[in-house]
Amino acid sequence: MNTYLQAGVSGVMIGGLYGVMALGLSLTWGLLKVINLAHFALILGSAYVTYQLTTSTGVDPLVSVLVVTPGMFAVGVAVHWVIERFHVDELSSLLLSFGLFIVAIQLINNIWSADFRQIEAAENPYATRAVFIGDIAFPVPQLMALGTALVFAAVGFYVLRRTYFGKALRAIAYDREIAGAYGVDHRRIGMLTAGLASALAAVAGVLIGINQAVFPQLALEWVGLIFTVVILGGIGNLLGAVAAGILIGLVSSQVGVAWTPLGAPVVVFSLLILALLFRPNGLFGRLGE
Amino acid sequence: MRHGRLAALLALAAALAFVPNVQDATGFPTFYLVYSYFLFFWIAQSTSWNILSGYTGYFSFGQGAFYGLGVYTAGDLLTREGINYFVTIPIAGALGGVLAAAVGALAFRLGSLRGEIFALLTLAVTFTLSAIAQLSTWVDGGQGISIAVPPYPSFLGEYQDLIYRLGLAVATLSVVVAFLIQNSRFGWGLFAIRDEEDVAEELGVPTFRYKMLAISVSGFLGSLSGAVAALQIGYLTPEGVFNLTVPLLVVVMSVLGGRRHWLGPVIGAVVIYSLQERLTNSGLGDWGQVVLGSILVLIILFAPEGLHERLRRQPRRAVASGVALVVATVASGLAGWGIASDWLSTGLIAGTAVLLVGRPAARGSGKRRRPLDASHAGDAAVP
Amino acid sequence: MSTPGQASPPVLECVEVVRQFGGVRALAGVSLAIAPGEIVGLVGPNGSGKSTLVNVIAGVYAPTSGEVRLDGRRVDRLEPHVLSHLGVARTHQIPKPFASMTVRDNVAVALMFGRISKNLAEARRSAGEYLDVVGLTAHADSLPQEINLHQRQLLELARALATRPALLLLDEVLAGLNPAELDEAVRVLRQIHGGGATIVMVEHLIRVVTGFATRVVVLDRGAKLADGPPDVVMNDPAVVQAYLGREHRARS
Repeated sequence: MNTYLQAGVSGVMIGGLYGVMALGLSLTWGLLKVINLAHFALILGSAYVTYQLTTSTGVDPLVSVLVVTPGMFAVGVAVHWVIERFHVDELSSLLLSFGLFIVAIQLINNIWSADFRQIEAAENPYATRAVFIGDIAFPVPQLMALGTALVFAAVGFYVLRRTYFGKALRAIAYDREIAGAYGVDHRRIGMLTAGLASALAAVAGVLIGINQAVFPQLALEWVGLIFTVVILGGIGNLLGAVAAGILIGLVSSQVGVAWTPLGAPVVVFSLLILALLFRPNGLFGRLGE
Repeated sequence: MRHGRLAALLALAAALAFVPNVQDATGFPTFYLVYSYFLFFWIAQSTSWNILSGYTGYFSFGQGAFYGLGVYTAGDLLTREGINYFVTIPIAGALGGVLAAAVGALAFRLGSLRGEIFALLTLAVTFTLSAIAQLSTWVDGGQGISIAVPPYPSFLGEYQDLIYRLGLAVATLSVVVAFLIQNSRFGWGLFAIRDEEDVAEELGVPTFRYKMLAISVSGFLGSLSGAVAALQIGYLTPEGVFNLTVPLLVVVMSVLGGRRHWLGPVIGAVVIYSLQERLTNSGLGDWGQVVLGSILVLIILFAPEGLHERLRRQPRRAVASGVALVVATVASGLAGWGIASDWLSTGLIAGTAVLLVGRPAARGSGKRRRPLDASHAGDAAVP
Repeated sequence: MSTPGQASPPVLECVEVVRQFGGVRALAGVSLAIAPGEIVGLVGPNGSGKSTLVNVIAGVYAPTSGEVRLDGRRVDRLEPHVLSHLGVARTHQIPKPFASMTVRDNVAVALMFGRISKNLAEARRSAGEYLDVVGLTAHADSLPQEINLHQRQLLELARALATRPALLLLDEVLAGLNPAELDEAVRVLRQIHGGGATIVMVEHLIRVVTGFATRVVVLDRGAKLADGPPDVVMNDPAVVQAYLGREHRARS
């Protein structure tokens, strides 16, 4: 029983990480109608930078946030600019981001080799620490992930519902042209959103760098999983993405214990199919609704 | 006219079938038979992908699923059940068709979720199959499966000759099917679906039925090709079979070559495969995917209509391209730069470069811009 | 409800058609019957449900409740391509041509899949006739992005015609036209009507259809407000009220 409970707790926290990973993707997909596979490369890249920075300079891994976030923000804006400039449509943007994704993964492979890379425990003040409630462990890195997810979800919710910026975003998601008629400049907001989404990817990457070992092919494993999170959560729905992430994390963990860890993708995929059949707009509804 | 082209294709295929005999007589290296087999393999895979994704516009990232299904069906039936290899091939094809139909039945029924979701669904199917391959000991179980040479009629030649001929057969079948579809009412229906599915439906195109047919054919051919590939691979592992190589390459090949025409994937397959081989031979294997990904990005931005369309629309550029191809091939041959296949690759790269440089004449550039919506109401012809 | 003495069943009948989208009732129980050969203007202010009704008739949406009948036969659950074969054709408010095909081929596709389907070669030949009717012959080999919006609307029309419809649903096909284009479009429509089609025209302003339609149906907020000859309907106080001055502006 304890195994299930522990697994469940870990699952929820890791689910929070899934949520953070899904946020940026959900945002650009729901708002800009761009499916950005390169998002995963940004996450992985940020994780590697975190690893490298700490390993080379001994600085606290969290400091990497200050480095990668602006960096990835710029990358996101640049890619978005290219897509707008060349009038790349939705499906072609998928291919484009796929190409960028492949290039990035291979570059990472060339720079760092295919070996597993992980910040040494000595350098990583968070890796070995955990909070204990009874027998159940709450490893600090995972707690950080969950905490970040919840904070972002709350902030996202507030911004989208209560601020002008948020309302503008929802208006654009609903109907770009009509929003334009009301003075909402979709180009600037688009750039901002793309940058923001990439910044979120950067944060996710830092959390991952603190949490686990990384290797180039890791990004591939994320694709199916995080897309499921985005779709289940409702495309563009930030709160939904976090909730769906936690749900999937929980379910995967229980499946892992009850059956086998390899079975988790099968279960998650089945969840996706069920969701698509019965709730095509996700469990929690899309953006702009 | 149509029958003429078809006849020419079949004649070419028949001629190619005798190349192994020529090899026996003249003794040129078996390497070229293997190289040709891979060309056939990629032609088959990208053509099968294009029948679905190019013609209907439903991008699939799941070619790996059909391919992997074909490989393992043949491999498992052969080694676990001792079934005659030649019987496993059509079985693999049939299973591929069934899987495709299942995916289609699911995806195409979900009205509001079209393009993007479909792409991801197909990717997810691939991952699931991969997981099944690792979990089920009958399929693989993580131990890997070794394919021994199956019994086959001796007139088909040596083992590599057999593989070559089977690969040729599947490639020919794929290309012929793509050709026939393109020039048929069915094909036009698919193109209409690609451009404006709702309108096509309203004009009388049975969109669901057509999409199901397209995906089933695509799955069938993809798995057929996979069944043959099982022999070439020799030792099957889930990671080796279900990785991103096939899904990625078929996309790049078809996008480069052109998705509107059956020749597109063929051209793309030949160019990309020879480019890849060239890179590997030059010791730049690590940069292979960087190059491929970059090509994909550049093509989408600057030449989304693909090589074939450019060849067709710019005859003078096409001639220049052909000249570049020949000149580069001969030059690298004289310079002794690698082996014969490398000379050809160099030629192809030169020819492709000439064709791609500069933007095409504006006419219908294939990019789906949005000039046809209300925001440009009243515009004159959009340049 | 057909008028007494009428032998043939109505071409189109809507019986208490309701269409709901989530919480919004786009159509709140619309009933109407259209006899063969009528030209019906379907008008109403924004949000009145005109386009929704057309979409329901064309099979794009199934009604939440109620029935749609074509020549007496129930068709509301059928897929659009089946409806096309039964003789229903429609144009779109914002033209949606097949972007990768020439103007001629756009029409050819309609011919290939219409009620009397042809093969590609025949379809391309016959396409010329329909291009003639709408006046697009000069642009037969152009791509849609090379012609202007009005020409694309004509292409929509040609395509719809090529399916040889018994019932033609036009969605704001006269919107945004200058007077010369308007006259030309009406001339084309008269020609089409002369060929035996029943026409339902969705228009935003009654004024545009009064010279042409034999009957006007006014929708307001999903319900039928008025149904009768144009001059009667235009003077109906409830109708004037619904438009709240838009009608007056249109007159001046």
